[in-house]
Amino acid sequence: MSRRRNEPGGPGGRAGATAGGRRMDAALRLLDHQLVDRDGRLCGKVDDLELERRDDGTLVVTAILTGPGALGPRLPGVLGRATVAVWRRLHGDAEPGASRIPFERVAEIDSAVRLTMSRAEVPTHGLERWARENVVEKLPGAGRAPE
Amino acid sequence: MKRLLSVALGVLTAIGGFVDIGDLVTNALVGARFGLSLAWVVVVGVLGIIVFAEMSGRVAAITGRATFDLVRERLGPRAGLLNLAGSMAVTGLTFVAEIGGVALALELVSSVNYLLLVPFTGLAVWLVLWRVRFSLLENVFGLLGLALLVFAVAVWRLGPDWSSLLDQATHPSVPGSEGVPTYWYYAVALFGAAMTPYEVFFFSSGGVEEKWTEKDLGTSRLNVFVGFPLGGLLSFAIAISAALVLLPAGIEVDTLGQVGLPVSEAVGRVGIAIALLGFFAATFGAACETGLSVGYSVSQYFGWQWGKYVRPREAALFHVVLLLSTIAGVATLLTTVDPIKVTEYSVVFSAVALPLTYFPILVVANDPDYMGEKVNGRLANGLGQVYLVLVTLAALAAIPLMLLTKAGQ
Amino acid sequence: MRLNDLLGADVVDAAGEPVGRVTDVRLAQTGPVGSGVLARFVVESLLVSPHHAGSLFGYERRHDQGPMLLRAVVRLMHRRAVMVRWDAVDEWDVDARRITLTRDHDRHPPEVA
Repeated sequence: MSRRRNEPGGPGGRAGATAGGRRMDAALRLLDHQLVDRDGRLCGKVDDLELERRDDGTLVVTAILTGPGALGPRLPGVLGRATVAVWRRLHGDAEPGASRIPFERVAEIDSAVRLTMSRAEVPTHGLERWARENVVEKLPGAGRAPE
Repeated sequence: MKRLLSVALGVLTAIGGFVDIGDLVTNALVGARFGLSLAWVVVVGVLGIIVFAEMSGRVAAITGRATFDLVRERLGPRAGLLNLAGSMAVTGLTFVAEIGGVALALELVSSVNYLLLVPFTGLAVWLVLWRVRFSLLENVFGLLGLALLVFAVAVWRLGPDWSSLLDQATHPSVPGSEGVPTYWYYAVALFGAAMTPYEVFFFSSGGVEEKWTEKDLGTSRLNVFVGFPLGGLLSFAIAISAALVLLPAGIEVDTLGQVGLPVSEAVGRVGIAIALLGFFAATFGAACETGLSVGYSVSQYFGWQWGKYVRPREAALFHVVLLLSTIAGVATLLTTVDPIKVTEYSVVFSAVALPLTYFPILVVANDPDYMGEKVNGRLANGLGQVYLVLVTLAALAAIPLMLLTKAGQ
Repeated sequence: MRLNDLLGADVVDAAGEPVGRVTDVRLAQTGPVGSGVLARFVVESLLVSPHHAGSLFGYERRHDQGPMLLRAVVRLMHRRAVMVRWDAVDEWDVDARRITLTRDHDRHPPEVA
């Protein structure tokens, strides 16, 4: 089992054997785990997984779902329904669904799920972008490294 | 040499940074009412925080992940959310208490009414969280916090009968003037003050902020095994000084000034000036830590980028949470709620939140897929399980005792 | 369909007798591995247990994970947990959250991935 350290918010042990024939328990090793983009930036959690049934009956994992549209249904009762409702309103479409990251964009899975894309490409990044543009950048020194 | 200095700095910072407003108030209050009959709780509490801080520091160093990050993974989103809500409430309450503590300390220095100082304090805390580098923040306030050593000096100068003190501490009994439920209520409060949940969130997130790796395990452990017990001794000094000065005089602690009274008696004006510096450093440092902890827990639940190791624009939601928490904290204090009372409630509710916090740490620290060979050994697990039982008992007893004794009247 | 639709679903055998609820889904990596890209994952088997809580701790699968007390409690709660292969699933009613197994399905004790 190799231990790897790239940057904070990231590394850790390897869950499972080497690639090819690798097995993984989804709820234990994938669900609710941290998503890390190709630059090491944190960009949400694996809130759910999208599954597709193929003609031969196999069930394939096609995408990672993230954001309130994916987390909402997993929260109980009123809270869950409210989350999904708020997400729908914010999004404007009739049926926005959840934010989707195609599974091909996953580079590696250890204690976190590492993506080949930058977080700007992750659909839920909108909220972070809103906070950045409307609050953080209005304050002096937002772009400077802490002194 | 440089390495030695940096290790020494870490330990000193851990000592000076150990005490916060909860420790200041609760230790003085308990010393003034119960003498040393609750000293054993401080020992148990400090040992407990050592056990779990070591675990969470090790998890941060090996996995690069902070505690709350892993809470949702381990407990699932529903239990994780409950945990988040509980932790935020308690840490938020503590944050309010710390800001209030800073304002009270400044009031003692300047004689300006603390309410006028609250907004200024909030702004100062936020500015530090916005602009100051993490390590600088920790080092400055940690070192300045060593000013609280003046309490140890005060105890020494008061020339107590050590054997009698030792006897009191090792043969605890409920003083005649207090009821048994009240004794146990304050035992829980003291326990909560020593083992506050935000400390492990902060310690592990701080480890990630400072980019700890396996090489840093030794330093992290040194901070915990040397720094924390010595910090605990500071708490003791506060309690003993209160027991020696306030208890015989029948003075109960309900202001920050009374906490410092023994120092002014034993060491005079110079002493009280140093004590005030210590109060300021301890509360300001803790205000920054609790504020950051609120930001850490929310961001780590949702997976947002967090931390001071990136520019603010890279962690926008995290900084929005910090800003909103500070505003909320200031607003709460401006309702003229007594910060000392808030402190007393925050330590009791901390005790209630402890099992939620420590259970996931214990589980993750045992997981070989994350920790490799650095999983918990028998000692860590033995102590960890004992403390899990203890914190559960304290958590269950806290609210009933609070109701029974009307919050320790 | 989502993973969340599978988790917590009721599992019944061909006769309609309850087996438990899905507490985890074992994925297997299949297909060629590209450079820097993971091959696709398919659902291989389901972990089914009469109880739901504690499934994320992994204790029912590792025999050595500490601490002792927690391991004992979780294993007690999950003592009747079984694994069934995905091809033992006859029918999956997503909306009703119910999975029906085939008549002659196999149940295995849970094992480490």
